[in-house]
Amino acid sequence: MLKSLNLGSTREREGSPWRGLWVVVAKDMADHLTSARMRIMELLIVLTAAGTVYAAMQNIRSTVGRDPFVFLKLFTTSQDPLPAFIGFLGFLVPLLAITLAFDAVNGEFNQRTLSRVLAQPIYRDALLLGKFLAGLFTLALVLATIWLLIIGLGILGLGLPPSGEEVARILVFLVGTIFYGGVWLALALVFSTVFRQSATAALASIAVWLFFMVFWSIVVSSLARILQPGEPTTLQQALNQAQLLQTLTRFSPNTLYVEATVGLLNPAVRSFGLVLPTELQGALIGSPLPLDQSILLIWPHLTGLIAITLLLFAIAYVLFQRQEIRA
Amino acid sequence: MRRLGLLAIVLVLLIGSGTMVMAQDTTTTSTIDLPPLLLTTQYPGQTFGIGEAINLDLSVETGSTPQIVGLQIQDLPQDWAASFRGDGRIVDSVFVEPQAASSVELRVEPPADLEAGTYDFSVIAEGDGDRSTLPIELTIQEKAPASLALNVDLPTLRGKPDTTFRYNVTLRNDGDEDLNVDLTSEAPPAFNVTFKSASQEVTTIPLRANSTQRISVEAVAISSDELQAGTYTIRVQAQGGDVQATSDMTAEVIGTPTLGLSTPDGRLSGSAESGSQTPVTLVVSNTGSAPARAIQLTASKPSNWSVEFSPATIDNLEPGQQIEITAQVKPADKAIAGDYVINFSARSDDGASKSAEYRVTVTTSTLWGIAGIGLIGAAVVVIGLSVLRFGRR
Repeated sequence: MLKSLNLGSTREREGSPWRGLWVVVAKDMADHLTSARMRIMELLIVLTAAGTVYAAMQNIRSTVGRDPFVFLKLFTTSQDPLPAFIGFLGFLVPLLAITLAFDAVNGEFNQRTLSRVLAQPIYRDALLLGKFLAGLFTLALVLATIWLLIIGLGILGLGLPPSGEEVARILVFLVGTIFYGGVWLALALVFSTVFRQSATAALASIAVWLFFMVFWSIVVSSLARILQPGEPTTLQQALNQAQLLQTLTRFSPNTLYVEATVGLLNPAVRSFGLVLPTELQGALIGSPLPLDQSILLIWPHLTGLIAITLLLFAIAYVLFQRQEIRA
Repeated sequence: MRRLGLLAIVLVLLIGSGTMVMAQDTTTTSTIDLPPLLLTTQYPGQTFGIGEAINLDLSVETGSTPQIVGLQIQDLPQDWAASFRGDGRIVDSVFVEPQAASSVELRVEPPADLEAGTYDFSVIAEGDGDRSTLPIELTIQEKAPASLALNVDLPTLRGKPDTTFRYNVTLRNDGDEDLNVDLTSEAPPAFNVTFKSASQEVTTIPLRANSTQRISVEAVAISSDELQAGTYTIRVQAQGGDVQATSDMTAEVIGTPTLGLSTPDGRLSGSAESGSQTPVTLVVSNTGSAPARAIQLTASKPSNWSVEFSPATIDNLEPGQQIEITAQVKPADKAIAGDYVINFSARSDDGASKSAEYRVTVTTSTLWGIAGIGLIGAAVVVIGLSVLRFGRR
């Protein structure tokens, strides 16, 4: 029924909906990589990376002792007054992602180029996915470059190559970071589809980001109090309350990203949240978890980030497809 | 006035008594009538052992006239030699003053093949017309022969392989000569034997004539793990000069079991999935010298874990044998991933025990991983559906 209706209303809509996708990706990536705002963001990230990694290296060199995961420490070690590199990544990556996508659709509207693009044999599906993938690839390119820069600095400064497990952990961390950026990229894409003004889309994206970064923890603590009123009287109640608080906190992509980072870059981390002393009986605290167990630990976070990215893209897609574009 | 008179009387008395004493002195000196020449020695008859040096101290006195006194020996036995010595030199005369005795040393050298017996001779001092004769009688004795005895208080001791067998030994020298005693031992190669005197290790000990010395002989197994049960004889020999003494001591070693606990390849780590049983093969061995009886296997483990052994007890394990045990390790259902330590221990009825730390890496189920992929799959399905519904515009 639905299919016949579709066939009836669309006359020559045949073939793959993704035709012309790679043309869009290539064009948009070229735009991104030559734009001035990308230069600014790249400069910012490179400076941050170089500064924090240099400081971390000073710190690592001054500590005596063998650490099997010294390369991971390049990302996580902080030296006053500089925070660790992962601390910067927590807000630089969303900023970069929003920069890449806040005017993806409405920019084309405002320049009146959308009709011209769609006059080509390219479906809207391919245009939106192409814009999203171009943003994601640009993000991946920038981050991969930074990662290589850090590892290179580490090899130069520490004088030893990273071990296989370190490389694997750093790579999984890179994937996690790209999809953390992907969440904000897809969100900015949604807003750029909804709002016709680029500035409004940018502000809306930054507002959501600020909400999760600053206000979500406050909201969560009041929500937990509303959902479970009264002081906890038994251990079980206290546990339940803590569990609820943690579950609510994890709705924020920031929390997901931070926990994934900690689980990957600190192999000694075994669990997030509350651990009862009985569960730690006989445990060798501080012994590193195998790589697969660490990945299993942060797997929900990683898949959560990927799923949010995909769902937000789906929303942007549906909104864009239903939009009147012949204005 | 009266007091002064009393003092005077006392003074007179004192002076009187003093003069009386002086008078007595003069009378005694005048009564001793020294001969004009006198040759003496304190012990004119002495006994010496064969081979000993014979030295006699002579003293020459004169009554009133200072004179030169010549010294001679008369009737010296055949092949004997004698000489007078003053201040270390050989002399044959001495100058004597009254009131002062001159001393001369007489050194007598008997021949090497001296026989026991009594020998007489005289020493004659001849001055200005005066003459004094001193008869001397020397008795020469055979010396007591050197002899050495070695007595053990408790010659048989019993102990475990790691016991220090300590024997108290008395060394006795009955001879008249001091000895330097060399101590040696003959023991089975498994033992290390030392001699101790006053807690110092010794190999040679000086032993004076007619005295005893206590030493202790300590025998320790070189490797107590490898020493088999049995009776071992340790022979101790003392040698001083030409004499020697030997004594045998016995160490009775009782066997003990020594347990070992490990895995077939010696690796004491493994992994186990939380909530599921994982078999761990352990090897219990007896490296001791006696059978171990009723070995119990236990494990100290984190709470909510279970460890079951099959078999849980070993009735008898002969020395040199080993047996494989399977331990079913089951981490708690919700165990957090990571490394944990289990302490396996084996304990036998006769007190031998051994424990081994086993490191378990707990892995968690990958079921949640599949759930995560399901989540991504659902998101992809949503996109697919929306493409189907709204696609190709």
